[in-house]
Amino acid sequence: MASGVFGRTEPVFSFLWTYLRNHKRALWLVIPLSSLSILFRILIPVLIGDSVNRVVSGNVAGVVNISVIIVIISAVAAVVQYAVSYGSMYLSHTLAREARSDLYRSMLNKNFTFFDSSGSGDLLSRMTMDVEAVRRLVSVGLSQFLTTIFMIVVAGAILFSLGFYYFLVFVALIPTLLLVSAYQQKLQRPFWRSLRKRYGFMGDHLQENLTAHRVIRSFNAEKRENSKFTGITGKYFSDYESISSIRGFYTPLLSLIVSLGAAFIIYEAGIQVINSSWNIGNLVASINIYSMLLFPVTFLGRIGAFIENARSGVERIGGVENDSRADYASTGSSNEKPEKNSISYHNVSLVRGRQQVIRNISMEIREGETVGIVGRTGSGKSSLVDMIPRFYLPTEGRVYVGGADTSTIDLSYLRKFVALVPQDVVIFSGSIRENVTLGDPEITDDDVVSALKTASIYDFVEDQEYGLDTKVGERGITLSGGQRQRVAIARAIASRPRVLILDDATSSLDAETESNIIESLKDAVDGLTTITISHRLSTMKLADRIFVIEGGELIQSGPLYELSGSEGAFSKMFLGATAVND
Amino acid sequence: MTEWDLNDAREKYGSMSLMKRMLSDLLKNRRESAKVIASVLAISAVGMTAPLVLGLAVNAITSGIPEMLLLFALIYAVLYIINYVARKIQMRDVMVLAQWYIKELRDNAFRKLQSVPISFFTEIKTGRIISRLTNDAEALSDFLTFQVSQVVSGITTVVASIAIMGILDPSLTLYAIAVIPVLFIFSFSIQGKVRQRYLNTRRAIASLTGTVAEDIGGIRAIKGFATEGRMTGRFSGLNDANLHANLSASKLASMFGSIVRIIEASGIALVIYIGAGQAISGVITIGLLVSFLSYVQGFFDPVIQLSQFYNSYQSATIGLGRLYQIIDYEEERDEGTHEPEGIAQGITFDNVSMKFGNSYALKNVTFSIGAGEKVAVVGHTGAGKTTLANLILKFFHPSAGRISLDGVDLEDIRTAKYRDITSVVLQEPLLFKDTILGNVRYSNPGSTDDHIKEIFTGFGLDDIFSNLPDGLDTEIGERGNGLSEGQKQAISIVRAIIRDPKLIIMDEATSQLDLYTERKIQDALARFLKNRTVIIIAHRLSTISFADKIVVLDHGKIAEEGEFNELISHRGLFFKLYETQNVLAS
Ligand SMILES: Nc1ncnc2c1ncn2[C@@H]1O[C@H](COP(=O)(O)OP(=O)(O)O)[C@@H](O)[C@H]1O
Ligand SMILES: Nc1ncnc2c1ncn2[C@@H]1O[C@H](COP(=O)(O)OP(=O)(O)O)[C@@H](O)[C@H]1O
Ligand SMILES: [Mg+2]
Ligand SMILES: [Mg+2]
Repeated sequence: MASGVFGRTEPVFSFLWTYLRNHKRALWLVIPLSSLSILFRILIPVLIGDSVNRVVSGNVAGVVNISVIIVIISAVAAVVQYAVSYGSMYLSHTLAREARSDLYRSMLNKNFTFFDSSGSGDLLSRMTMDVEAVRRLVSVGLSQFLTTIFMIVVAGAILFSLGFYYFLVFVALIPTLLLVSAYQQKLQRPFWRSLRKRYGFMGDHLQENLTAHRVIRSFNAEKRENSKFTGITGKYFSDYESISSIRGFYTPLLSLIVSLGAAFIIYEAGIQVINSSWNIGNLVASINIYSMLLFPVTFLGRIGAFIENARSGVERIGGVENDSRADYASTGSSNEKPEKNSISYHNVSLVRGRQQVIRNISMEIREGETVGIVGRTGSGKSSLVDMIPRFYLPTEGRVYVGGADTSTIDLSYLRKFVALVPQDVVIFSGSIRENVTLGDPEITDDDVVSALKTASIYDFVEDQEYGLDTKVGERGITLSGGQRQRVAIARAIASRPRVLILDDATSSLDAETESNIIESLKDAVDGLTTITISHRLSTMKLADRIFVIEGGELIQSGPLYELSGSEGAFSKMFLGATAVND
Repeated sequence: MTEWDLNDAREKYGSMSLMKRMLSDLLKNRRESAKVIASVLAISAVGMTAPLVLGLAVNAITSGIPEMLLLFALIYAVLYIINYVARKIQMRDVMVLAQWYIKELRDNAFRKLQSVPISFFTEIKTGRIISRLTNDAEALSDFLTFQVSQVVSGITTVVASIAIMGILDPSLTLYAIAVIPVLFIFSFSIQGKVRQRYLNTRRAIASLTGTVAEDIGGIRAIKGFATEGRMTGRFSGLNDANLHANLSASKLASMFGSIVRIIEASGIALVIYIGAGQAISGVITIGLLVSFLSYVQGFFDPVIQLSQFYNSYQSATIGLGRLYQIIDYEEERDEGTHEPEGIAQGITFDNVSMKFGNSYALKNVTFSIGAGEKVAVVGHTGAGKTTLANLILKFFHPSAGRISLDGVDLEDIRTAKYRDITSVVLQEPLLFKDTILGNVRYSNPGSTDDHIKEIFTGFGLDDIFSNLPDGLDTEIGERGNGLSEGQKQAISIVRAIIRDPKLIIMDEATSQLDLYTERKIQDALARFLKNRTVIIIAHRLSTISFADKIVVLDHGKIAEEGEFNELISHRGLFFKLYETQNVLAS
């Protein structure tokens, strides 16, 4: 019914239904009870009217009875009302919890390409604002919208029993009310849409502005940022202005229609009472019923906003949940768990966006081997190693770990087997310990300490007042770049991987520290396969073999002495470099 | 960090003083607020006269005078037409006023965020700030738009109704308002509990939001270590806690509403009981009884509304506190009077120390950089190199000692002017969601595409972007998503150069670039920055080879300082750093 009046709202209702249908019992309690409570509330004006009739006829005992009945009915009504009000809150919050949980799971299940193209502020607002918009529709819808509708129906029935005439006027009013509220909703819709979009812009702009505050300050760009922001809030405000004009015009119109109906009844029915064909109590009762409707009908003017917000909320939630870029689903019943830590690429190509970043690469890394990867910026080094823990699936060819195709390996097994420290390390706000264990209860403090030692950062941690409990700011802001990198390396070591990939994760370290770490890795973890991407010759010296990537292709490989001995990309890059030093 | 705890803000200000401040801010918009007040008064006037007119109409009926009845019915209609006009103004203007105020709060808070000391950002999570400017400000909307005007007009109606009733029949009025004290006592007695429970809901949702924000930010680490299970467990815990906090608050709010309804009914019953007796014995007219009954019913809608009002009020005052806390944050004053146009002599560090908490990042650092000099700063990670750069950039202020430019203390130099002549490549190349060209232009909006492309070519950086289908017009995502880390650094370098600075600081600016590209950058820098003052922080010795002077930092102190060859022959820390790199490499 609501969908007919309020436009295309079906997706919203089917979304609500998928959750509410698990709580049918509560639902079937709330809906009838809410009509019951309305019935009780409307009975009171009827009783008041009745008491007036008894006063007119001088029936003292009757009046006393009525006062008692009013109190009793109200008490019962109050209990019912409690159940309705709490019940609708219960349903709405339970729905929010389940919807949010589903959304969270679905989000956590997405693959890296999904996160490459999603804004973090935007995802967050889907988890919070959009779920809340849907929840509010349920709570308001059950407690107020449904109540209003029931109230109108019950009021109609009672008016009918009070006199056909009262009912007729009422019947004439209802379609007008519905039309007016539907029409005003239609007028408001585009502005609500645009508000939500602008709200998203606001969050994104804030996110960017706050993260890059140092860039902004250093380039004196504060004023530009201010005017960008006031531009956004200005447009946001003007959307609201339009909405408020529409709302201001139509919403009070709803009460006006009801009141004019009441005035009309006072006169027309009053004349009938004077002619003593009708009784005055019924007139008073019906006027009371009309004024009782005044407040709820204005609600019809507000429901549009709730539906509109919930609708775009459902769209945005669905936008994530229906996105097919899932991580775990890719190859169905894949649960291989290889033991060996060798790696091989067979004719691997990778396309990212519209760019082919890896071109037909085949290479082998043996168990326990330490290899280096070098190449120019943007040549595809990161893209190449990102395929080992299946952050990205090859567009063509296959990547094998321990002889098993990565796409058939149990994903969480694979990602525990292979630890990758990225170039842009992630540090969570929290303690150093939490950053190393990531909440894994099996990693003991001893493990943390030995991982920190291997990563050459334990001395620093030990010097801190709170040791392992030292808090680091958001994104590691209170640490130096090299400290952040080493905490991330310690995290990788503590997870006891069989394959460790350091993707230029030592760029902020001095050469000595870097070499110390790479060398101590061998002692710390027996038979570990290590892949290091770096631009330092000193690091490449520690590698058993080196792979040189250029333009997405593997153009050279072999031990250092071979590569530096021959003419080629490698010697061009590194021997040129040392030449500068001398 | 505790200073920025969720609830502190409001407790610090006190709800009442927050409301006062809000009111006085709202009244600043004279025109809108005058219209709102006038319309609210008109609505209350209608609210209190309508039952009276209704009673008069009933009396006209009982005494059988059709003309009077017509008159009162018409007055009734006219009253509601007036009511419509007033409501129309009220609805529109309250909303406009509310949104205007919210916009002011947001704009002021944002403006403040552009001028708070940098240390502010190490105290509070960005997610929290964002939620203050978005969610918390939005929470005011419901309060200002619906709750306040409803409660205000409700209370005015109640007070005015009581006054009219008192005039009509003082003794019956006493009966009619007999329930009001009960109502008050009841409301106040549970207010504390309601408040506490709503506070809990705000806390619950805030920690949920904070955690999700961080999960999204760190998604690559979560997935990389396959910790989705644990993260989901933690999330579920918070999600459940949020549900329970809300249910417990709803329980109380629902109970409140129900009990108020019972009190209401008792009031009505009392009026019927007493009033009917009087009407039957002819002390009052039936019309008067009808008016009274109508008035009493009118008392309670605003009261029922109160429980929603509480909820909204809690959110609003918490939100307001948090926003005013940002707005009131002491800003970094820029009161220096010196406005340097360039660098004549250079920069001098005079016994400079920098302390974070209890430990020194820099200690008693004294050295100088001559105008046009190229100085390299080296040292182990954590030695204080970035801190040194931050001090020169005036991001932080020394805990002790003094830094001066051409003999003038940096503190006396107008920061805005100073930053016109300086530029920096930060250790973390923060980029914006824009095209590559747009990102470069950020530091200098006047620069043309051609000029930017020229710099890319001049620095030998064009070919690392040549494989992008859209070249330099490529749209990049949040924080430079879609590029390799080295490409981001390259953009960040060009962005700093395009400002044509007198002083440029490059903090490990080329750490993720390949040596080949780095060499080209160095050649270009040497040409391009001929007369500029340059501070280069780097680990690779190849990067610093063109420096006039090298400063070696060790645990926040200057270990050595001098020319390359000088330091080598000195056989100190620099020699060791240099040795390891060379020995390891050769
Ligand atoms: N998320 C992404 N989406 C699309 N293209 C990307 C993405 N990340 C990197 N690229 C592109 O892939 C190419 C190779 O990048 P990458 O593997 O990071 O290079 P390297 O690590 O060798 O510097 C670059 O040209 C870069 O622009
Ligand atoms: N905002 C901060 N709060 C607390 N400690 C900090 C902060 N910034 C830097 N530090 C500490 O100061 C020391 C020097 O850091 P930094 O100057 O970044 O070193 P680097 O020489 O590697 O650039 C480090 O130990 C770091 O943990
Ligand atoms: Mg890379
Ligand atoms: Mg640094």
